[in-house]
Amino acid sequence: MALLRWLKSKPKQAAPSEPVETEAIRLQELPARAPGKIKIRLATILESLPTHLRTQVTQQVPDAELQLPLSEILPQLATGKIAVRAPTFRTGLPETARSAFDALDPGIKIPIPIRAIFSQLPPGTLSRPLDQQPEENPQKIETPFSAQVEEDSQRFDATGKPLAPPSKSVSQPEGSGVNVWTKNPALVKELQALLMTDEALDYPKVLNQLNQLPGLTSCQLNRDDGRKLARGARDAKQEAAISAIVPNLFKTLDSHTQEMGLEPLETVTFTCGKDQLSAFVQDHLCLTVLHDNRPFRPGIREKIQAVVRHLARIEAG
Amino acid sequence: MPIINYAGKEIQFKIVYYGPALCGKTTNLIYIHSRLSPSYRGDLISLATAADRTLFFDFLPVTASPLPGFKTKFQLYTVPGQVIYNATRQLVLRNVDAIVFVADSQWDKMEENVESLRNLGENLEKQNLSLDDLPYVLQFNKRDIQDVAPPNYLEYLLNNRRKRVRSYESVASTGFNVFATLDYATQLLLHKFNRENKSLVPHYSTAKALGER
Repeated sequence: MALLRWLKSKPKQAAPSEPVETEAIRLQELPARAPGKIKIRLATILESLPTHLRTQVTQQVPDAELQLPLSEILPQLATGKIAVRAPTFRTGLPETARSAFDALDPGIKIPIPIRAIFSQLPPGTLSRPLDQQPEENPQKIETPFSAQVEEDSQRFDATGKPLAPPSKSVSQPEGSGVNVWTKNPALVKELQALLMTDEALDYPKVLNQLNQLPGLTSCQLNRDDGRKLARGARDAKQEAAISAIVPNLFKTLDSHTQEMGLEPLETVTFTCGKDQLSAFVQDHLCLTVLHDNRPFRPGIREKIQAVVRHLARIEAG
Repeated sequence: MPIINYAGKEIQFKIVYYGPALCGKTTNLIYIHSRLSPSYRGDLISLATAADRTLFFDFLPVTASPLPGFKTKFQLYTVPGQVIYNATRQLVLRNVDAIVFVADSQWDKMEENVESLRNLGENLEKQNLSLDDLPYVLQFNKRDIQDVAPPNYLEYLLNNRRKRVRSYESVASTGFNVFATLDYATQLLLHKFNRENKSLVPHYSTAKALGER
């Protein structure tokens, strides 16, 4: 009944929104009643409409353009979210599209994607506060992180795109890379035989071959200083964590097993719920394998160990 | 406030990475941890849920000697970004010396960025601190994603306080500008320390970095 009464009443002109009171806004000169409207395709708004509002759209909506007063939009820009009241929304629609939104509760607000209106903002809208103090520009000093800043500046262009790997690429050890693989043809042949392949090998291809072994889900090869030689883990975060943690963990365990009078540690397996992680270390190389929750099939562990030994010999030149 | 151990000649600084949930705070620390030599950093301790959401904090200690005569420890923390963990964020912010605010550049995260920054200001106020007085830098993360908000809008939203701060566009998952952000925050922190402790470290402006202690 309330809805019917609303439908019959003459639509009132939407009052301009109160400017959002934040310290930042107060410092800026925002137009209280900016002239002009912005236009948005209705389809864009409907795509980002929450489900509970979409159900209130009662009919197929024609491809139409919505017009909203800038005075409604601008005060909300600094909040990171823009929404207009349902009556304002309906008023901005062409006549042909309004009936589809008759069921909208007049008290609700319709979110407007900022990306859809951003290019229509008047010049100067996103100005800095007039009395803002300039940025501090301290005299440059060396910090514990300055070296990495310098190294990273060689790895990326100004937009953050990785550049072609430099000689100190994080994915290749120093003095290694293609030369290592061509320097030791006999060792590479032995490795090919071990992996039962004629394919020309490098670190990523060796890992691809290992990934075919039954029970293995992914492999990752690092040097013991954490540098990655070939990727493997399911996601980048896990990969980074494995690179950082596993080699050191293995070293720690190895020193303890030797204190116990045991032979040097060759592999270690962690069982974590449904995941199993095994590490194989030889000289400066650490191969980490994620595998399914059962022991290695007969011969698999030995095969992986043999591969790592060969890789270590190839890497050592 | 840095912790100074005069007897042991050690100074401890605390840098907190703050920002909304899933903006890349932990990713920053994972990258930093992976790139620093194990000789100069400890383990990355992450207290997270099964879904890899930071529950309490991530903690990474870094040891260096940028101040002559003193061994310096930089303790890097992140906070949980989810709204419900505000009490934890307040605890982690105690005695903070510098802040890196990580913002998510995706369009639909703008409101969360604003709210997180407001929350940061509020939590600092409870300790009688202000963002205007603390070394602090902005990081606009996830710049590799298609169709993210342009930097000028992020500046408008987040860099509108009394004092303008430096901002870096970053891709924490690859490491782009992760160290640049941390390096700048550390520089601000060390400059502030020098201003407030001139008698302690008179010649720190010529201090040497890692590896030359």
